[in-house]
Amino acid sequence: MRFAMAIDLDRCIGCRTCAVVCKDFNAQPQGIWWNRVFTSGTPEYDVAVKVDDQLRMEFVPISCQHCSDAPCQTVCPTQATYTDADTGTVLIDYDRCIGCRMCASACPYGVRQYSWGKPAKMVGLDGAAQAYGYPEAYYDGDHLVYTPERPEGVMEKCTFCAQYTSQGKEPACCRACPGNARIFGDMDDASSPIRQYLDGKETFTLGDEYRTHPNVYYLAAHKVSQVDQVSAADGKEA
Amino acid sequence: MKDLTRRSFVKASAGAACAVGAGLALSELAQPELASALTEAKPLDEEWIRTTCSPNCTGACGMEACVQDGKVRMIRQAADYPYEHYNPRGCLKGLSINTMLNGPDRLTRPLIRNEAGEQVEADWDTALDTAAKRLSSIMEEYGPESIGVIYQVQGTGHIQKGALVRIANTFGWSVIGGYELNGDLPMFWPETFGCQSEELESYCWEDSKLTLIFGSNIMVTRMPDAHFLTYSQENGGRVIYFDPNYSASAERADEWVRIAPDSDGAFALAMAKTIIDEDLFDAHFMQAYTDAPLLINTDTGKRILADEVSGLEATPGIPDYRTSFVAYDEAAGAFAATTPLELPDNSYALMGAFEVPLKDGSTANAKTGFQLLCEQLSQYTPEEVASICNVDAEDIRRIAREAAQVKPMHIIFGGGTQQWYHGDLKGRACALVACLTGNVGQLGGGISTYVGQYKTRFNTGSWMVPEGAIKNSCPFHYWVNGPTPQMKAKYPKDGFKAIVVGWGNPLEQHNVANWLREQVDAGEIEIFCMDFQRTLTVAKATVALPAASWYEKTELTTTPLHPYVQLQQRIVDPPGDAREEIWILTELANRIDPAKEPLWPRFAPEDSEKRSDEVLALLLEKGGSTIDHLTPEELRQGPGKLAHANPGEKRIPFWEQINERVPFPTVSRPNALDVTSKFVRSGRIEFYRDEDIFLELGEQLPCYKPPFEDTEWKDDPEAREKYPLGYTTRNSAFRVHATYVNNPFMLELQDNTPKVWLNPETAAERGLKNGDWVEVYNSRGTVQGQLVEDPGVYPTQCIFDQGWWSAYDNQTSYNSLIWPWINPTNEVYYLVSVWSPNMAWNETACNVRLCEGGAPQIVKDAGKSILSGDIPAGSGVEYREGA
Repeated sequence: MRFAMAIDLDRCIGCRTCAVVCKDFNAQPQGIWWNRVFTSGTPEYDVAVKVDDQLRMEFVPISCQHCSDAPCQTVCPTQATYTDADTGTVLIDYDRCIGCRMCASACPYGVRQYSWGKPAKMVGLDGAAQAYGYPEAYYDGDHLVYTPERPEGVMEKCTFCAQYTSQGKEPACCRACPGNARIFGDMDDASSPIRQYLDGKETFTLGDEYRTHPNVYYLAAHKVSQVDQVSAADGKEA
Repeated sequence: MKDLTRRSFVKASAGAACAVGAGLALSELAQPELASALTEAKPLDEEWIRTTCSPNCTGACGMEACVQDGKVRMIRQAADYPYEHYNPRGCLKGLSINTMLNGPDRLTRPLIRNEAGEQVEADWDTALDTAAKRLSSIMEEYGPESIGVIYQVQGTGHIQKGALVRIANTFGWSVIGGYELNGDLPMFWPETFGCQSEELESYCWEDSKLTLIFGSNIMVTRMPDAHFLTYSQENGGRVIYFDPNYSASAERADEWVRIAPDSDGAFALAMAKTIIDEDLFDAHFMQAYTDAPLLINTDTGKRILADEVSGLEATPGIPDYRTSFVAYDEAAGAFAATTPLELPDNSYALMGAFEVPLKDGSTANAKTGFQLLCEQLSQYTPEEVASICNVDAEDIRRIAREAAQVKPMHIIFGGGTQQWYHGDLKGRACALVACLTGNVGQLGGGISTYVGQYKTRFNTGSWMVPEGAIKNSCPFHYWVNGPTPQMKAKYPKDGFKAIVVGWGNPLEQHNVANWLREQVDAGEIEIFCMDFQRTLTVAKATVALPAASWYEKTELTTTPLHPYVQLQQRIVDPPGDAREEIWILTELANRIDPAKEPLWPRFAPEDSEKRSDEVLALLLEKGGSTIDHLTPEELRQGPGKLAHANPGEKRIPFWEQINERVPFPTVSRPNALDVTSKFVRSGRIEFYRDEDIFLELGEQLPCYKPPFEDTEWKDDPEAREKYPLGYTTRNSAFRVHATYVNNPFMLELQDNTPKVWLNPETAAERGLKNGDWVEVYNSRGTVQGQLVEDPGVYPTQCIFDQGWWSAYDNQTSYNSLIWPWINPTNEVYYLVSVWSPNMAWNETACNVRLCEGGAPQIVKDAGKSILSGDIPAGSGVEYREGA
């Protein structure tokens, strides 16, 4: 069994619903986003970028790629980062993590998130703290891989929503995507939803040069034919 | 197309439906083979309860909330719509409102002003008595119509929100129609089709083979529906998106046409000309369903009446809101009286000039409407229009041919195109293309508007219009502009003295927001409001009353985007003293006038749900044929589908007109059909309007008029130089208008920072660069923001994402720049939310400069809407380092 996720960029509308439910369901503290949606070529949202003389707004949702050869795991001095043998899910044991951040340097995708200091509580009514997200800790065996109360100074990242997938449910982002652009399942099972979806389609993975063998597969978006005399005039002047 | 959706992963068995009951929604069923790997998590001791997220996006998305310790802890889409492609329905905002239900901005206690004018907390009795006493005395002194009522889209809530309409009708307060105030009223609809608007429900989009989108950023403003456009593409359809600015919707289209701002109407007219010139038009459609064959007196510009013509009589027995006109019957070789009572096939001449003998012995020179239209279109050759639209003539021709030949073809006419002073002319031109191509009345075809959406989908009078109702209404435009000579609406004799506001924030969200604030500060106007968040309007109110959110009450919702009637349910109790609106308004009505108790039977606050249930049952029972098959019990379980007239699963607008030959218009609820029929007296789709003001302005037929000439530049000739940019206040992905502005997750996604988008060239001309703190200004006001250079912005445009509270933006208001212009053609008739002056947000000229004093402190704690702790707000998000 090998858990994997497909992200169909041709269906992605850049709405960031996946990022927000990920944050909410996994009780991510302020500033922490396991799952982010970038527009290729700009750090800003809602901005067009010139790509080959055309304007584009190429949305790229990025979270942990759950690499089959995960450099974050190799560099971890405490074996806090490990790969679940049965599913290939890359997880972090918060009990073992010492916050050295070697893994963040090793990860070519920049998806590991680190809280400096004690994570803040969300302010609620009359100064009370507001709680959100899956309310109970989840242990894979004796590994603490999720807890709504984050320990101080640990690395965190996407777990494919281990607390849900271990119950046979989808990760929150796949369940929530309004465009049905995210499909989860078992790559070793030809009848799984992800295999069915990918059947006959061309996919690509990120950062092949790093030989990490990601388990997140992307499908490319179509090109946009453009009637744009403004950009054409810019081009001539240049 | 691989027909795979999220439901394929988690296969719910049919038998699982039995698990649904008593408001408990179906929880997901596990796929056991996947559970064998990781250590199985112990299922939560949780409750997921279904409700409906229905703020002013009007999307009405079924949600389930996970409740723990009496609070909503997580929200997920219910994903239980019988039409699978609607699942999952819901966006990032609605899915994270759990951060706001008990957030620091939540209004939990009634507020009143003490003698010193300070706002203080009060108990309910004191607050309600204060409001009742003050409102009574205003009514006594200035009349009930001096109290304006600002309420939210009826469809988003019929019971609780409907109670505000009911109390307005009880006392004769003036309803200030939000549909026109917000620029949502697509005036071309009543002008052409005689109805408020019609639209395809979004699941029909997947049936279109060609979709033309004019200025509607569907991917941002209709997130839960957007995938139906994707599905149409996966089915082999094409999407062409017209917008001066690049956007997510341009990115997802097959083709983006960068049209000059406000030139869509000219483009559509050139399309119409091409389609007619190349004989690609549907002549039968134009003959049978439109006014194209009707004869116009070319000397007077008026349509010739059957009763005027020698040898003709009007169709007998027609009601006084209908008129029998004249056409030339080519088969009979004679003039014919047209009937407004049906739409028969005919052999009426579409083209031609005629001499029509009149009963008074004279002869009228006449031409068919279509003849005049063709003559009018002669000035809109693709070559002429190319320079207006900044698009090559050949591209216009190519798209025109495609639109004529690919069926079904659907035009989405968006707010970006509509909300201009001459927005109606553009809509009439686009409607012409939809009719010339014979797409109206077809599944996946026609023309739709998805702006605002006040659409009332069943009869609501049983609750909203009490016995002895006094119905008053007056557009906001007249409050600001003052009454005009042509005004048909009833303006309060002493003007407005108070506004009663429900779920709205006029001091931020109305045009000329600054002017409104000054009115309040000067004591010219008082505010009484209900809300669940502490808005600026709440802060300035005489009395503010804490209301329930949509997770804390029973409410009945509909939307034009899908056919399902849904309930909001009381999943948790409102925090603090907040209460359901139906109780608040019942108490207010009784305290203003105890004699109203028969209309407003009193009940204890804890019986609010019981009372809501009674009203729910009443609304369903008396709601008419679209809804009366549904029961409260069914709706407690999940969505119930509205009924429609045409065969097949999906409702097709104008199906009865096209197939059963029922005359236009369709009904515009809550109005009776009689009331709106006079807008299209011929019973046909009308492209020719002969009211005097249309003739005077040369707008009897669809035509192109440029932006600002009749508004900004007429008002101030120097504005042409001083304010050369068009100001677009677009909808943000992170807000529904101002709702969710204080959602901490949304704030993080935007670095807590309001932004201004300019083309890099436009910025450079002003010496501005990325990251500069700038000021957008015109003679009326200013707004600030951080500059974002975006080559996707048209060089003559300036964009600001609307909805930021001014507390986040150095106290500046983006609405302070915007004026409610009144177009006199919008004053020919007055019917609230159907034919009325209408807000043209985009008809605003501005300029941009560096903000004096440089960048301010980014507001991190406005409304305390941030996360606490050691980490400064926003520090988790880097902004443009090294950019």
